[in-house]
Amino acid sequence: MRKLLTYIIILIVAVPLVRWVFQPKIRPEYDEKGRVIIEWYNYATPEFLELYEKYLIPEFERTHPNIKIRLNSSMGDTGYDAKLLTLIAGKIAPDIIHITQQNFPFYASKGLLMDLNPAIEKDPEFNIDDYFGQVVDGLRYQGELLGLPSDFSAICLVYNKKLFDEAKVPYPDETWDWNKFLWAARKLTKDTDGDGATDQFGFASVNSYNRWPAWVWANGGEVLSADAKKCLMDDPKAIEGLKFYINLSLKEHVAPTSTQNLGQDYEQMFMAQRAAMIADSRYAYKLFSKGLEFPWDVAHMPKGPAGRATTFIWGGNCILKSTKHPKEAWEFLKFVSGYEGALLNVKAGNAFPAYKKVAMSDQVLKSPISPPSDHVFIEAIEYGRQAPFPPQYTEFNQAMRNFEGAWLGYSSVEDACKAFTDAVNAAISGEVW
Amino acid sequence: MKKQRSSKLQRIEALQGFLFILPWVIGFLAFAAGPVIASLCISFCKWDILTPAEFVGFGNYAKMMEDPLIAKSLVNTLYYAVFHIPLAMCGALGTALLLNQKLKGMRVFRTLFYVPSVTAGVATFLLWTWIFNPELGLLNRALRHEVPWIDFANGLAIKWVPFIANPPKWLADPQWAMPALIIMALWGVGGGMIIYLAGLQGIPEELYEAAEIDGANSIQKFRRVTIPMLSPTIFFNLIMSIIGSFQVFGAAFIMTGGGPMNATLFYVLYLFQNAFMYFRMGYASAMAWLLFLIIMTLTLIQFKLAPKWVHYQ
Repeated sequence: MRKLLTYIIILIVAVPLVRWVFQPKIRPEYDEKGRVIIEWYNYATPEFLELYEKYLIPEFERTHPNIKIRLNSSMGDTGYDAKLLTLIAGKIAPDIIHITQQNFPFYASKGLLMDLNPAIEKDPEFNIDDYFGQVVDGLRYQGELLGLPSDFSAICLVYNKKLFDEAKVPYPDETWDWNKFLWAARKLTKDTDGDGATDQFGFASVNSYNRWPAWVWANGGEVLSADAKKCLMDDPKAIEGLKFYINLSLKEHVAPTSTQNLGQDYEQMFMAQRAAMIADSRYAYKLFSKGLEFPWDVAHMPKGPAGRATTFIWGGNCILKSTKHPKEAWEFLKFVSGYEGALLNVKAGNAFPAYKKVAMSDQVLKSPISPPSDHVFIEAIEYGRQAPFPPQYTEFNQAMRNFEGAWLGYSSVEDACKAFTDAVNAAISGEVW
Repeated sequence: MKKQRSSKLQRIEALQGFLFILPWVIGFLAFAAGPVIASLCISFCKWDILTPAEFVGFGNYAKMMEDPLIAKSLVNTLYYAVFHIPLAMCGALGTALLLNQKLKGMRVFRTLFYVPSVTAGVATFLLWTWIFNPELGLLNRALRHEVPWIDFANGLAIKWVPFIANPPKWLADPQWAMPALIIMALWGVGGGMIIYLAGLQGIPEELYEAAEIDGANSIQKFRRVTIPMLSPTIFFNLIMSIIGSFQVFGAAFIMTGGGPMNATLFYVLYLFQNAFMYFRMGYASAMAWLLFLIIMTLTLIQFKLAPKWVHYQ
C-alpha cells in the first residue's frame, strides 16, 4: 500500500514537471480574441507605465482593433540591457524596444534592428519629414533607418539667475564665447565660508560621451571621420577642445573635480546652488519643476573658436529583426512616435517630442515648467549634432577609459587622446573580437 | 565470501534513496555542474549572446596572453592577496588570542568584532566609500586633526598642527586605492577570529601546564604549544583566505569600478566587465577557467606542504 502511494505521488509530481521542462517556450502570438500580440519593451518606471496603460495603449487598441500591445518593462535604466539580452537569448524577444542614444549604437552594431526604409516607402500616410531631421539622423546607421525617435533634447546652458545677480555677472547671451564663459565662471566660483575649500563653482561638468564631443566640435575638431573609418582625436584642434573642457576642473578650478563634488552629481549641485551653470537637456525640467528655490533660465552653449556646437540626447523605438509581425509592429511604431505618442510625452513632461507639429506647439513651448528662454532649445536644433560611433562599438566604449587618467589629472590630455585614437583605430581596422 | 546479488529489498531501498536526493542532484546538475561544463565549451568559442556562437579553439586563451589588462588585473589581485592574507590571519589570530582570556565582557567584545563580517554587502561598501572620501571622510578628517607640537621658532611654545596635513586621496589616487581596499578588508577579521577562538578553546590546558613546569615563558608557550595545536585551523583559514582573496569583486565594483586608471581592477572584476559590459562571453569563460587553474594550483601546493607543518591530533 505504501509503495503504491509513493509511486502515485511521484507520478503526480514528475509528469507536470517533465512536461513543463520540455515544453518549448514560445511567446503567444495571438491572444484569445485572435488579435496579434505585439510586445513593447521599455524603460518605463511605474508612473510611465500607468500613463501608457491608461492613455496610449487603449487609444491604439481602439483604432487598431486587430492588435494587442503587451508591455514589458525593465523598471528603469539599470538592468535594461541585461533583461533584453536574456529575453533575446531565451528566444522570447520583444517586437519593439525603446532605446536611447546611449545604447542604440550597441544594438545597431549587432544587426538586431529592422530597417524601416522599405516600410516607409510602402506606406503612403507616413512622412519622415514630420520629424526633426537632425534627430532622425541619429537613428540612421550604414544607410539604413533603424528606428524612429520619440523624444529628444539638445544640450544647452542652464544657469542660476540668483548667483549671477550676486556676482554681478550679466546673463549668458548670444555673444558668449569661450573666453567670456571662462571669465563668468571664474567670477562665479567662490569660497563662501572662508575654509579654503570652494563652495560655489561656476560650472559643473559631466564626463560623458553625450557631452564632451560638443567641446571638440566647437573647436573645429572631430571625433570620427565622416565614414567612421578613422578616429580623429589626435588632431590638435580636437585635443585643444577636449583640453579646454577638462581644464575647467583641473586647471581653472571653476568646475569641481570628482572628489570636490562631494558625491553630488552635476544636477544635484545645480539644485543645491553649488554650481552656477550646468550644461543640461530639457529632460531636466521635470526634475527642476519639483521646486527650485531660485530663478533660473537657459541659454545657448558658448561659441567655441569654430562656432557653436552641442550634442543631442534622445529616446526612440526600434523594431527587432526577429519580430514575426513586422507590419503590425510598424503600425505601433508610427503611433508611439507620432502624434498621440508625442502628446503623451508632453503630458509626462518628457523633453521634446521628435514630432515637429507637437514640438512647436504652445503646449510644449509655453508649458508651466518652461523657463523664460525655452525657445533656445528649438534654436539649438540647428547647430546640434549626434555623437558618432563606429560599428566596433564595444571596443570604442572600452577605449574611452583612456580618458580617465586625463580627467583625474594623472596623464596629459594629449597622451589620453593619442591612446584613445590608437585604440579606436586598431579596433576599426583590426578584427573585432 | 561470495558477493551477493543485491536483494529486491536492497534495490528498492537504493532507488528510494536516489529519489530522495534527486531534487538536489537536478539542482546541482542544472545550476552548478551544467553551467561549469557549458562555460568550458563556451571558452573555446566567441559568443556575444545576440549572435550565434563561433568556434575559435584556443583563440580566447591566446588573446589572454596578449591582453595587458589581464596581466594588470592579475598583478592587482596578487598585490591584494600578498598583503591581505598575512594581515588578516595575524589580525584574526591576534584578536582571538586577546579575546580568549577569561575576563568580564569578553562576549561583548567578541560580538563587536564579529559584527562587521556579518554586515558585509553593498551597504558597507558605501559606508567605506564615505569614510575614505578625501575631503570630508572620517579617515582623512581624523588624520588632519590637530595635535600639539613644539614650536621651535617661537621659544618652544606649544602649537597645534595637523597630524598629517595632506593625507592621501585614497580611492581617488591610483597609489592609495589598493591600500584603501586592503584596510577596509581588515574590518572583517571577525570571521577568522571566531574560528581561531574555537580552535584555541580546543587546546587542552594540560599542555600549557606541562610547558610551564618545563620552564617555558609566554613566547615559547605560544610557539611550541599554541601554534602546533592550532595548525589545522590555520591551514583551513589559509586555504579559505587564498581562495577568497583571489575572488574579490564587490568592493572594487561598488567603490571604484576598477579604480583610478585600473589600479583596483581585480581579476574577477575584469572578468565581469568582459562578460556583462563588453559581451565577450567566450573570453570571460576562458578567464574563469584560468582563475580556476591558478587557485587549484595554489591549493594543491598548500595541501602538498601541509604534512610538514600541520599537526592533527
